[in-house]
Amino acid sequence: MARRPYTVIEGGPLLSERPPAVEAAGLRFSYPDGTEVLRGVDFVVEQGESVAIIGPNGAGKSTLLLHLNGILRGTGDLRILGLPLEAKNLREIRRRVGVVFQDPEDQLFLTSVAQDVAFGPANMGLDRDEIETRVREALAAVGMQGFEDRPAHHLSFGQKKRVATATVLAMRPEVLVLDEPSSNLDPKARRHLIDILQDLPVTKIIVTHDLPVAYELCESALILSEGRIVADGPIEAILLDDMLLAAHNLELPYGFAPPSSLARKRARRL
Amino acid sequence: MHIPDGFVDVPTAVATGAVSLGVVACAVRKTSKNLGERTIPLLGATAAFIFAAQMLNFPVAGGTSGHFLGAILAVALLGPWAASIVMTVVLVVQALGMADGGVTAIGANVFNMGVLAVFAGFGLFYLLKKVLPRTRSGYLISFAVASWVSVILASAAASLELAISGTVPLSVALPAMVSVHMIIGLGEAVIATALVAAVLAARPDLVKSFDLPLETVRRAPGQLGMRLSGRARFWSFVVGALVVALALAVFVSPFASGSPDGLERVAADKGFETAATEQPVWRFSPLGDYQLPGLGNEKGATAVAGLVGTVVLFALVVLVGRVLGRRRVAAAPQTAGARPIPPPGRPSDRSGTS
Amino acid sequence: MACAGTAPFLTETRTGGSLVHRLDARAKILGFIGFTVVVVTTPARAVWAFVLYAVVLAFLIGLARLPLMYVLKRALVVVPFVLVVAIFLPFFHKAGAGGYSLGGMRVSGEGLLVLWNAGAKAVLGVLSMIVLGSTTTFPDMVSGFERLRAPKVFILIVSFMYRYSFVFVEELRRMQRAMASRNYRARWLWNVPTLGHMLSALFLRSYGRGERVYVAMLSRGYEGTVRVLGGGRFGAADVAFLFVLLGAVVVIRVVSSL
Repeated sequence: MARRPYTVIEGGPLLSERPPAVEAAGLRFSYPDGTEVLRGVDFVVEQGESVAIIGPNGAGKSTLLLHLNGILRGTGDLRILGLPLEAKNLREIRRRVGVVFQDPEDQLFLTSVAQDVAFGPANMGLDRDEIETRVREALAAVGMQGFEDRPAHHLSFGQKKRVATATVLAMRPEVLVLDEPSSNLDPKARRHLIDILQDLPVTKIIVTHDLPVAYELCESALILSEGRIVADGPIEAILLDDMLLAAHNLELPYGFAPPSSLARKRARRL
Repeated sequence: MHIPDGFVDVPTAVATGAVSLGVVACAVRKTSKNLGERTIPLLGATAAFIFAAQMLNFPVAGGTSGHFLGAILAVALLGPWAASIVMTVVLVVQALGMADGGVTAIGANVFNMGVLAVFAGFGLFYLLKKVLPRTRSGYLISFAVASWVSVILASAAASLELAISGTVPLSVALPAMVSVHMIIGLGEAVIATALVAAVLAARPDLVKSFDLPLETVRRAPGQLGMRLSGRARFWSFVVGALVVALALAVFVSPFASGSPDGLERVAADKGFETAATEQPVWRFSPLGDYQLPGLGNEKGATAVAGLVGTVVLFALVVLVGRVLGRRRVAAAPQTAGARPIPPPGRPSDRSGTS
Repeated sequence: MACAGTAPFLTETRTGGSLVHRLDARAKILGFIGFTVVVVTTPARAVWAFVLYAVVLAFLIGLARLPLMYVLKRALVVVPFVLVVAIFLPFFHKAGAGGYSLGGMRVSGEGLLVLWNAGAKAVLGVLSMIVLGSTTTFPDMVSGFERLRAPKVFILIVSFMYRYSFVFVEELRRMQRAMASRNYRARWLWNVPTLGHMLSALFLRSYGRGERVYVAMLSRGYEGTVRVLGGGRFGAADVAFLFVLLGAVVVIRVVSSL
């Protein structure tokens, strides 16, 4: 697979000196009963990139996602931030790679918002003051300050999604992986979430069906279909290729006309 | 079945509390070793489920209603130690948060529903599994019977505690509680078995106590996972009916009387105070050597006779069951490591995290 | 998801800024449980003692500004149990303690004492827990127990249980509504298979959730131990509350057995 051109983060070292955020080669995974889900996945995500992973249902996106922090482990080569997936690396990988799952209900399981957001930092062994600072910052980053003592089930869905994101942000990950971040959100909540994500200077890997969100947040896209990467390139190239999308049961929303890449870059600089 | 404050006296509360504490402490130590695995969320989910299910009242004829206990369900899914912790948690939350069950009676309640129901039920479940044909139906029947018995045991223990504390007269309370709970227990058995059958059909890997080859739970397409085969249904009905009838014989008939004001006669019977000096009616009655408080010897004798009869008949039924079971083709033995399709998110066995 | 206010269980905390509400959870837990223990050990004959206990509780209810009707309504749960004792009463035959007739059934003085013993203690116990539950939020209660060194396993299970109880009851309600709108009524025990179907669906959903939660926990670095954040210190008000409450009831108790 040809490597995509990468962006240079101002002030930081040249990306070629930093290991890729994700480097997969020949990744395969089957469930114990024999169902093969990933059939040789190859791709690279450099640090600082924002990549969308799109594809039809059943392609293996969720399964792939679970490999990114070592929950599942398949055969083949997979390195996260240069670290191979071994038991001794798991703790560090999970600290530096934050995964926000699709259903916030699964991620809010303690008795109050503050508890849930503090869970990650607490597991990192930070001291009380540091934890409190992080909780405050994370909640502020998602616009949920003041909700510390609320039980999670008192929140609306959009609020829960934001708190779920905060639970991961509190760990200050270098790589943020999101599974369908905009699903089930009303337009206002969706916009709010996009704004939050837009501002985060981390590597972003976004699994989504919401192609406009992918277009807005990501420069590159991967199409995962039937357990393999079938396309890997700049997002304009992928999204404007109707035939490619149709071949994998994808389509742009009706009436959606992606602005040209030039217009996007201009909008970004503003 | 949750005993309120003041219904058990201090010695009883303390004694049951001590036993419960010991067992639960042991359970905590045993489950804490496995805390790193998937235990905690599943324990919490089971606890939440049992808590919610216990709020479900189902009507029993005559205006009373019973509620779900869930002890054997927890045992089937989590094993006895974790089950006992889950039941304890549910009971403590109910006592503190819903004032359901007294906080001083927690020892007794935990003993009845979290220790006795769990471990005696587990013992029976385990025994029956060994004795019945090793098929899905055999498993479900074992489960159903163990569930039913667990409810009865819990209610019997509660009556005993209440009687020892002097709050209710044993001779009346025990048969009353037990007979009502025999019916409630039927509801529990049916619901819980339907539940376990459904879980078995969808996620047999979750049922810790299920140690049979996976083929036994794979259904032909078109068959509902929850139905027992026709034959097994018939026999489980027979077994159930027999056991109910005999249990009634054991527990209630000694106290029944032909005359209309039978209960009053029982109460007025001087047998209670002078039981110690009466000669046993049945010379070989083992109950002649010790006495249940409040029971006269003749009643004990009847109970024992009924029990013996039950056991004999049960053995007969089991024999029949085995004969039937042999007609099923035994599946090839499989290793315990085989698992069906887990949903996304399930840790792979290969990685060794489970 | 609907707010917990729609669920009438897990004693809803009446949000109030009363003194009792603001006490540390540990003080309240120890205080109210201690109160109940002392009440239960009091000999039933000392009827005056129970009256005093009730006065103490009434004072606390007033201090916590809890509506009396609300408290009494919740206390009704004991009534069926007390009724059971009452029904069995005529069948008691304790030696001595003269009796009298009530329409053919004989009830002894001893028997009435049994009824009083069970009834008074049950009612006081329930009221005490109602006040505790109504003035303490669940998270505070859990945190209180955690700081009182309850085993970690329990704290973790309870935390999960709390969240998912709401989910399940909501699901249960949804199912009941769906069933009712299709004219299902639980008439007789044997309608239970439908109940079983319902419960199994509920259960499998909960199990699925448990696994996904575990994955989320692992993703945030869970390795088997959890530090549950608690807050607050044990202040002068807490000490005073414990001292006064337990002191008062212990004195009553001691006098009652003299």
